[in-house]
Amino acid sequence: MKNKIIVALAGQPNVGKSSLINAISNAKLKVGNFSGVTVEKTEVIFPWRDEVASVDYEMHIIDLPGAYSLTDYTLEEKTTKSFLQSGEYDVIVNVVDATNLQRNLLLTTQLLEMGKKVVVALNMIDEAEKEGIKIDEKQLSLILGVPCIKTSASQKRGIDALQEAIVKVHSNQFSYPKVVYSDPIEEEISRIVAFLEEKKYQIEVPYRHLALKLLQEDEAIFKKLHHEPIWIELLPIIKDSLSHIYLHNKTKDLSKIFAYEHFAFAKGAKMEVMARKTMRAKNMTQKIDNLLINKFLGIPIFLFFMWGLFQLTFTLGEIPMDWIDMFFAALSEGTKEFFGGGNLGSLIGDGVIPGVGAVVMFLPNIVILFVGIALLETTGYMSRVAFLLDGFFHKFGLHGKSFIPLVTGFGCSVPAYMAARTLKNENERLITLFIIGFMSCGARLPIYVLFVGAFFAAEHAGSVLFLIYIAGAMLGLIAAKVLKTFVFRGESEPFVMEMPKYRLPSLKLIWHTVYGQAKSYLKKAGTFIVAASMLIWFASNYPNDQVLKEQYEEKLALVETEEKTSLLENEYKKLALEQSYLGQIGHAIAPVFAPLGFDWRMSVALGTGLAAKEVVVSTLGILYALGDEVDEESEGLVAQIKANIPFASALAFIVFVMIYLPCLAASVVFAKEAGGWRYLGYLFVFTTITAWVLAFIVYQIVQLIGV
Amino acid sequence: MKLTQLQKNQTAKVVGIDGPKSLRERLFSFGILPQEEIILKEYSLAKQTLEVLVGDTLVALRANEAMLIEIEII
Repeated sequence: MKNKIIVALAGQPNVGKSSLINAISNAKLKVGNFSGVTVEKTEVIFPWRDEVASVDYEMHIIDLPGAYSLTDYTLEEKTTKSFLQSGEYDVIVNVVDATNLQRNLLLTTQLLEMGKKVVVALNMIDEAEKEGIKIDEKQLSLILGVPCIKTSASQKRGIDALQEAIVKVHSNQFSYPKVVYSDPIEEEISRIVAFLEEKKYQIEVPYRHLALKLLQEDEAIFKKLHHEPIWIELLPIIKDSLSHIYLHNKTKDLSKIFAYEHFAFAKGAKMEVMARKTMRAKNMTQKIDNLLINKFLGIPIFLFFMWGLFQLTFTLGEIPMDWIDMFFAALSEGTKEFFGGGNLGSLIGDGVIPGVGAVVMFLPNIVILFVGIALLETTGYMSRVAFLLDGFFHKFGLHGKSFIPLVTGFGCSVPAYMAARTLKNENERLITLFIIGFMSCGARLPIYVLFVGAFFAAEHAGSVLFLIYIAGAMLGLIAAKVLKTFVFRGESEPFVMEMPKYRLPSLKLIWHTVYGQAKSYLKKAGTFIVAASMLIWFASNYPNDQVLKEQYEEKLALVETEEKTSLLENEYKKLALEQSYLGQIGHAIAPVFAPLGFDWRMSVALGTGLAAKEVVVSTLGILYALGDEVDEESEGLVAQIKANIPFASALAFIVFVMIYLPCLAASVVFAKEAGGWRYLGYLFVFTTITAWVLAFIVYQIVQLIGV
Repeated sequence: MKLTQLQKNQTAKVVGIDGPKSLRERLFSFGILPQEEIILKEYSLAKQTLEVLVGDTLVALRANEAMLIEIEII
């Protein structure tokens, strides 16, 4: 029979927890965390055999989000605290950064007070040794009353010893860990313990633990004892003890008093077990910081890194994207040929395959960008980015880290939404997600080029395009401020953040992170996007008017010149699209857009733009009966647009396109990242109303001044 | 004197921390609490964000939060 051991893996952020879990589970199992964003707990299950006792175990390791202490400051800390308090585990493994013992032991003391079996892993011991730090783990074991194992995930040191210690602690009789407090508190503990001993009170926890929890005003313990006869006699003693403690500390704030106690214990323990020879590593980080967060050089250096990252993402990413595009286009053609032009062929060839293609197409972008972001995160540079830019972004209710998702949004919204995961504060993350769409993505460019080309002289086109992008970004910042003021209100959260030590990135960890990201994107976004593509295919092909089709087939049979054939085909395409569900919707919503000066064609084009922004141009092509083989450079289309669309409407159209909902793929990813479909509803309402109002204003003003 | 008034690379001792409990607990967990030493390492343009060293930990905080930390130069 297998014995199950549930291990809760707890530790502060940046202590190498994920690397350790990879080393323990032999990295054979999927660990899909984004570094630092383990908001959900991850469970890793693997078999382990105790060779000496020849017993088989099934280890369940639950990777808890990083927490500096057991408080409710961040979402991570809340998750960790509530899981640890639930008690649904056997052993806590506390991962400790051996290079920063004192601060890490602070969490350890809190964990020891949980009254659970604990094993301490002194992780990154190799790094500590390099820094000239010596730790006496046997002495630390004695002080804490729990096993302490030196480990190094990168060198695979102490991994077996850690597993053995877990099994041993699990099977051994539980002995309470010991945290020693200051004399006044120890005195009161002994007093309560003495009373309990005298009364021979029956309870499953040791008296010392009980006394401590009473002094800490632990709710659960109070509730339990409240109904016991001993309560009447115990109460005055506790009251008296507490008043002694208050008097001694000159405050009645118990959380503060015990915070001081924990700090003193952690500091004392560190002093006893640690010796340090040099200060080299510490100075190393500070030296790098002198350059990277320098008042004047910091931002230019950062911008250079960003430039490099985007060059890689969008230039290098374009190569595989072209291949993917070509592959799916060929596949689509082949399928349609195979099915002989029937409905099934069209569904698969025009609906499913391009839908799948659209999902896969973003993969190169996502992978490259996420390798870059993982590099920034694991090296510790991301915290410096926040430091550099927070002053500016905080004014708009954003965070310094918002910069990366926002700039990514200029390339493509899909990876941008995913990049917002680096933001830990819920409000700041949501505001960032809501305004990413304001950063015009690459796919909107063809629409801008078409309209700007039609209405502005060639020498001004560049400046107008630049203006469109800048205006979008500024609107986004204003929108952030509005959202912060009216929607995501509440106290602006304090910004107190660790600047982790610079570390060389671990390739393995980056691979795990990016692999996990890519896989979850394909799985979650993929299914929805494919389903939605099929829906849009259906809406633009049905109802299938057979009469119209036959009519044109007859006409086509009569003409001989190629020119006339294509003319008739284009006319058919236009009429077919107009009578389809999509065309009907376009006609139905046209009155809504009438105040903006859009005709039904522009309304339909905007509707298809919900699927993908690239489609807007080809839809306009079809609707102006030029066929679907047009692009933004096509002279015929430019001329048609110039002839049919007034200048004011064209400007309003550009404004609307700038702001309204991003494409389908991005919308699906948005809903997933924001945490629910209702957020997509909010985004739809928010962007559509903003787009409509601003387009309306532009339309009216331009008409008024009569350009 | 407030933490924001500290000069670059100057060492001080924390004497008091104001502000809501959650913020105090956060600062405590980084080792920023009365009697502990604190060094200002760097600040951003216009002193909107500060980087301080406490023990072995570098901590970044906004001027708003740094205003709540009372210090004494040693």
